[in-house]
Amino acid sequence: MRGRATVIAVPYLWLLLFFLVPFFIVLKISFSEGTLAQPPYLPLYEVTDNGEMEITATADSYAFLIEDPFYAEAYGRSLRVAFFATLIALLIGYPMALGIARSKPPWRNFLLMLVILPFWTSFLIRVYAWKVLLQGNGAVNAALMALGVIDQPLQILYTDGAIYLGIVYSYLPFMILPLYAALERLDASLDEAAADLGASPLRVFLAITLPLSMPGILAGSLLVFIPAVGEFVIPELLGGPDAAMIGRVLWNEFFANRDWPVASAVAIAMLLFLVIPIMLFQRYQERPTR
Amino acid sequence: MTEPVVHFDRVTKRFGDVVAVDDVDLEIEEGEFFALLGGSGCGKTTLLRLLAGFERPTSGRVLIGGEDVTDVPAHRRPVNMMFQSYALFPHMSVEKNVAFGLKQDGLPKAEIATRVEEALRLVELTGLGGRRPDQLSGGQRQRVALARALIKRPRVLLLDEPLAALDKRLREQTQFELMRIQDEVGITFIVVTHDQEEAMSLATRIGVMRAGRIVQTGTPREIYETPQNRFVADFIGSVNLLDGRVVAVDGTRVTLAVDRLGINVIVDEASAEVDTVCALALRPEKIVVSIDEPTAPNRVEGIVKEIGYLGASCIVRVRTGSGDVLQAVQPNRQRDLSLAFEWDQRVWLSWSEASGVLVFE
Repeated sequence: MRGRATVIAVPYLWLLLFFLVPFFIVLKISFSEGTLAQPPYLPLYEVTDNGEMEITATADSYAFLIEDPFYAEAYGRSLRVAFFATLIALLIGYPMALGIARSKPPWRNFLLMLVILPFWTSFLIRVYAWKVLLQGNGAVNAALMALGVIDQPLQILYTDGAIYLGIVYSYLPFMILPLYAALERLDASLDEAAADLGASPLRVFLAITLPLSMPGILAGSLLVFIPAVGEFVIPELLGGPDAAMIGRVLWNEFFANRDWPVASAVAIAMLLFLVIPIMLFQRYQERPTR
Repeated sequence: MTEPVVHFDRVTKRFGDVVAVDDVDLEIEEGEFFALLGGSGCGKTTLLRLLAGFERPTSGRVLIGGEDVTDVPAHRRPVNMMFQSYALFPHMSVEKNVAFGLKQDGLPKAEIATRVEEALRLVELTGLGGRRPDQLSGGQRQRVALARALIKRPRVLLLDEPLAALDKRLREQTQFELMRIQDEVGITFIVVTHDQEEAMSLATRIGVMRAGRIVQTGTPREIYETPQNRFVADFIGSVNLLDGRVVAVDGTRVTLAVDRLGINVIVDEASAEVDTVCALALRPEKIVVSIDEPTAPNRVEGIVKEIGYLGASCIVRVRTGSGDVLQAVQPNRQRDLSLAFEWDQRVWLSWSEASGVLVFE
């Protein structure tokens, strides 16, 4: 019993230290006032000379987020990009996962390994590689021109299309793996039973395979959606200069503007946006199936 | 003669190098309760799956009601199957599971509801329609699977080891239930089983399978009393096989010299040529154990090595002078356990001329 408690306690302690504590620090900064100093924010309260405590905490940073439409636009854009990127990843990933799950067992591990293979190279390097590929004189344009599809190089890099491409490419394995796990354990005789009762292959898919793989769809979608919302590297490298996604805004506030309170407020707001879908997912998972 | 409802026309199915079904030619008549009986890997389930449309034959044709369905996909065949695992849809209620087949046909909702209720009544599950499969006991799940497969009133109902997952008591009860339901709906049932008792009590006709081939078909009585070869004799029930050589034939009366036991055995209602090497298949319950030498012509002396008490009867193993062990089953006609013979006692085994059958292969 004690061994089990230790095994559980250690990772929780780790999370407490390196997630919860930083979270509260960020939360605290978001309510403080900015200043030109080191660190660039004021404490939440001060004890004056005559021993009175003066509260200096303020919600100004949050008010600023709401007042300036720039932030709402950045949030909206991030959620929209993440949503459609997740949808595209699902549409590409589902047939792949189904194909792998339905292939013969010796093939499965090989195909899964191919899905995981990109992880062997650094994420940053892979996104940089896309940058090179998508350039005006890059391999993609060269190939399209050689095939006679286009006469002039296309402007692919620094567009929203490049952001979608980058996100879908980078996060596709996170979609495929939970989908595969859900599809692989489906009992093949369920499909046969449905076919036996007169369901065409399409009906079998819609009535049996799809609803039974729903936990995999939700898990995969969250694994793509959540990091995509806060994605910084991909829009920074592949997106246009005006592609203000929330991850870039956050970075700019912290490092370019050195406005830590506003940056922290941006981070907290983003966290709230992301906690909601996770909680919905949890509720779905806990829904009594028996 | 009417068209058979199912006809396997020289069907062969290979999986790679493995021949699962080997040149099977089989006709099943309307209204039969047919059992495919065999050990694991004998091809009986493959034969069923060929009929359901989940497998395509390597060669040969499958006909249902005289119509060639070899190339017809599973969802367009007029047969329904009850799976060994039941394959109930876990995300649907009992009602939705049972209604699934009718929904695929686009029947009006009102009719579906009536027929679902009817089907649930048939399998005595009225009132459980709202439950999910994992809220049911094994026996109830089995009934849901049965109702789901029956609701479309198929030409043929296929049952893959329908009772295998039930405990012994429930199995016996469900056997009679299945027979009642088959009688009520009048649909042809084809059941696959490895359990010979199940096949004998359920089926009107049995096909015994071995290594992809059907080695004998017949009524349960024919299969049990007149097996056509050693395999069937040995597979169905227990049997004593006495190897010998035919030494005399007088009409249907055959005399077999059983060299190992040093006796001649007379078999009635048999046909064989002189000098044929064959064996007498003798069921244990046909042998009488006695202490005094009997007058019957077929008899052999031995020593009781084992007595197994089974309640309704005793199994007696007797070792003959040659070292061969014969099995006899004696009914316990009296409550008194003190049998007329004991372990290591010298006894006589005897049987009538018509109680055994000659098997050749």
